[in-house]
Order: sequence, then C-alpha cells, then structure tokens
Amino acid sequence: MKTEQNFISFDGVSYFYEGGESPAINNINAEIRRGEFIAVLGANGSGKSTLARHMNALLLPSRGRVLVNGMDTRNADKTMEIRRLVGMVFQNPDNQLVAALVEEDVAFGPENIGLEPGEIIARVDAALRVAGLENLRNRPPHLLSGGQKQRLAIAGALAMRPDCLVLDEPTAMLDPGGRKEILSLLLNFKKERGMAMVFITHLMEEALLSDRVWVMARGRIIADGSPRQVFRDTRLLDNAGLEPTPAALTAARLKKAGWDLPDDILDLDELVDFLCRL
Amino acid sequence: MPIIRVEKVCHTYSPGTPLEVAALKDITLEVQRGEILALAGSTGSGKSTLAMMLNGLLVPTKGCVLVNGQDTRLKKNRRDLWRQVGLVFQYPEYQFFEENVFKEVAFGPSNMGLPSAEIEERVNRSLEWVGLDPETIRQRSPWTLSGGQKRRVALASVLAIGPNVLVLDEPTAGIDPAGKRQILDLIKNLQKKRDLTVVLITHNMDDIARTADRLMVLDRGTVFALGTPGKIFEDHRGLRAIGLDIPYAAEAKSRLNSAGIPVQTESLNIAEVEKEIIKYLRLKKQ
Repeated sequence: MKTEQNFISFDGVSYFYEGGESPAINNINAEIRRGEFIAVLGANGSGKSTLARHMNALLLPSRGRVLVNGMDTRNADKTMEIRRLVGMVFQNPDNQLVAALVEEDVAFGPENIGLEPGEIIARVDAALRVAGLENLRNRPPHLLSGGQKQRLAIAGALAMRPDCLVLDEPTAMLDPGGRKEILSLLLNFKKERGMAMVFITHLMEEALLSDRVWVMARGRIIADGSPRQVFRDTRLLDNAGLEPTPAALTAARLKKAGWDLPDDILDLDELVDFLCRL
Repeated sequence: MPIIRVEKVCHTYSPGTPLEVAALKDITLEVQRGEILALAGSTGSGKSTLAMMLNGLLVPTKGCVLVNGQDTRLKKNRRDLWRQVGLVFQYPEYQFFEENVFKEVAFGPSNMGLPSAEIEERVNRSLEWVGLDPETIRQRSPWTLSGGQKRRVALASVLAIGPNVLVLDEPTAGIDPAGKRQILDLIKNLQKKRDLTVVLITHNMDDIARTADRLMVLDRGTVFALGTPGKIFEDHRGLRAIGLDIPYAAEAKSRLNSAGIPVQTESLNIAEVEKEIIKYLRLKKQ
C-alpha cells in the first residue's frame, strides 16, 4: 500500500476528544496521493473536521498513526515541516486573520519561514490574484465582507505553496458566483503546481469536480470512490445523512412514477439529454 | 402596514478616510408584518450592513430606518429595538459561552431582569418552538450538540427575548442537508404559527425559493431587484452577472424549455416542474 505516491496516509487512526465516550474518528485507513483532489462529504458530526485536523498535526491520533510525506505527525520535531507542507483553511475566516492589511496578512506566513523579500512579494501577488483580492490589498481585513475574508484566508494558505491544501468548507459563506470562481481558481493552482487538495463540503456539485470522494458517517469513511460511483448509491448517501444531487432526485421520482430512467443521472445536462432522447 | 421602513438609506464605512467604502447607496425598503423577506446579493453587496441597521446596531450615515415607527437614530429607542428585532448572526454557535443549553437560552431574558418563573417559561417555549425538547436538552453542554442542534439553540436564545422580527444571516450555512431542511421548515413555522416577520439573508437560492414571500437583491450597495422570487428568478443572466444563481427548479425549467420540453408552471416548486415533464412524456408516448 505504501507507494511513493502516497503523500498522507492514515494507519488505523482513531481519535477521542477529552471526555468523549465514542471516538470522533474510528479506525481510519486511507491515503492521499500527490496532486489528488479529494472531496470529503458527511453530515454534521460525522468526523470530517476531526479527520482534516489530523492532516497537519493540529490533532494527534489517540490510536494509530498519520504519516505526511513519510513523517509521523506525533514526532514534535517534524510539526513545523508538516505544517509547511500541508496548509489548512477553516470555515470561519475571522479566526485566521492576523495582520493590519490584506497584503500583510498574506505575507505573514512566507515572512515567518524567512523567505527572501523578492520571493515573498511574488508569492503574495500570485496568491492575491488567485483569490481575486488584488484591488483590496491595502485594506484592513476587518473591513472586508465575510466572503472576502474567506478569500483572504485561502490566499494566506496558498502563499505558503503547500503540497497539500486542506479546506474545511471554505466556500460556505461565498455567493454562488464566488464559490464557482474560487473553486476553479483552486483547481488551476492545483494543476499548475501539482498541489493535492482535500475539500470538505456539503455541496454535491462541488464534490462532482473531485478525483475521489470520501463519505464519512459516525467517524468512519464509509465510501471511497469516484464521484460517479459514490453518488449513484442512494442508499449509501441516505445512510450518511446526505442527499443525492437535485437532478438525481428528479430522475428517481420520475422513475418511481413509472418512467424508465437510468440510475446514473447526476446533473441537469444529463437529465435533459436523456429526456430528449426518449 | 410595514413593520420596518428603510428610507433612502446610505451607509459609508470610514467616511473621510482613504478607506472610505459606500456599503449602501440610497436603499428604500418596507418590510411587511408577517412576511418572509429574503435579502440576496453577492459577497460585499451590503446585505449584512443592512441587516445590522434593522435593529439599530448600525445607524445610517444618511436616511433613516423606522421600526414600528421608532427611529433607530434615537438613542432612547435602542433598548426597545434590540428586543423587537432579533438578529441571528452568521455561525451564531461560535458565540456560545454558557455551560448548558438552559443558561445559554436564558441569557437574554435574564438580562432583561425578568422574574425566574418567566425566564423558565420563555426558555422552554423557545426551545419548543425550534423543535428541541426542553427536558432532555436543557442540561446538555452546547458543545456536545450537532451542528443543526447548535444552530437551533442559537435561534432559541434570540426567540427567548421575544422579538417580533427575526433577522437571520445565512441561517443554513455549514449545515448538512437534513439539518438545513429542518431549519427552513422551522423558519416557515415561526412565520405561520407565531406571527413572526422574518428577514432572511442568504446566498442559497433554493432556500429562497422554498421559503420567501418576497426577495430583494442587492448589488454593490444598490437595489438590483425587489419583488416576488418567481419573477426575479426569471432574469437568469442578470443574476449570474452579479454573482448569484437561480434555484434548481428555475434552472430545470429553463433548460427543459430550451430543449423543447415545454414546462409552463410559474412555480419554483420542483414537484410542479416534474408534473410537466410527466405530461410531456405521456404525450410523447401516445
């Protein structure tokens, strides 16, 4: 199992919060390969965020181990290096902003690791461009809107040029246009730099763009496969407290009404196409 | 009669400095008693600024806001305004600080200096209104609840103050599909059964299609559209151009129509669209 390509691996990882009776994540065995885009789906409380926080040593396993680029996250000497390799963006941007100006906030990480000024400027410029914040670079972060702050948190993480970026519902507060834009910019960045991405989301249409989907329920990964494979399994989704895509639901209801539709309709294009061919 | 009147409101942050931003420009709006009014707009369009004006947390730099006829600019009205208009912020559960659910929900009524029997009654009633059983949940730590439950406790703690108007800023953000549905049903119920007026701020067009009576769309601080969701969602191109989307049912309707499958319903309810599809399939079969 342990090939060169595995960038992060979980070996039998469980985690108990203090005072918690049952594990928040339970015997997780999984790998993230270099350059891969994994979407993590699951109901609230299914263990998604706990799993994510193990990927850069923010949490350490109660049982089992997590390896990042071969380094055990429990090894305190490696923590700094692991966090440089694996960036993290959380849901609530207010807890992640540190500086007085947008551009200083993005420069904070690169400055801390002692990069050359020229390199810092290049990275800050690139990150602001990706996040669509170039014209707000001289504003204080507290004057930004909620969605703009979320973009800023993403820019700060990108400026560290991580090998893997873990995003915990980073688009929850963005408008639909901004959400699509950020995701496509992240995908470009990922393609150009070979960055792996772990994307926690409630939105099926975002997960459809991933290479692989993990579905979590009650602390376990109950499905690991391509979005198409995973999304056509309605019983599995139901068991995880998730909903099929709206188009899949329409297809299912038409089927129930006696019309013969295939099981693998996931979006409107496919639905309309099929209906036209009937 | 409108319960809130927003009259020619402008708001500028950091006026007279290089950081000056005009967040709202000449906004006029009447919120009718008992309606669910949705407020949509892309990031930075001024939605949250407007929300904070509805109970005097923020006062317009020009124009005025009247709640039940009371001007929010007058200091003597403020205390009463906070009680009349309950604001539920984005991710309200991040503001929990009490050790159990009872204390969390009782915080508002306690601050109002109510007698303990009244506090007790208000806490129980608000928890029931949000669909939580007061007996089983009152002693639990807010931190041990699921995301959807936390959100409902936050809602209950605002309801316990006894507002006539609820202003909800992205109430379903970050909640899973099942929890989302519960919260939307709950908002509908509060309007219908408890006579509350609701201002719902959201990016989620399906949430709007499911709950709102009227919709106001803001774009960079100005009114882009104001009317019924059904009418406004017909302007796909316009909405997309300002960073918004249209609900699934509207999208389905338009794609089907342009593919030659006629869908005539005005409704934003997907069940109605599906009925039309079935009609088409039947005709085709004959």
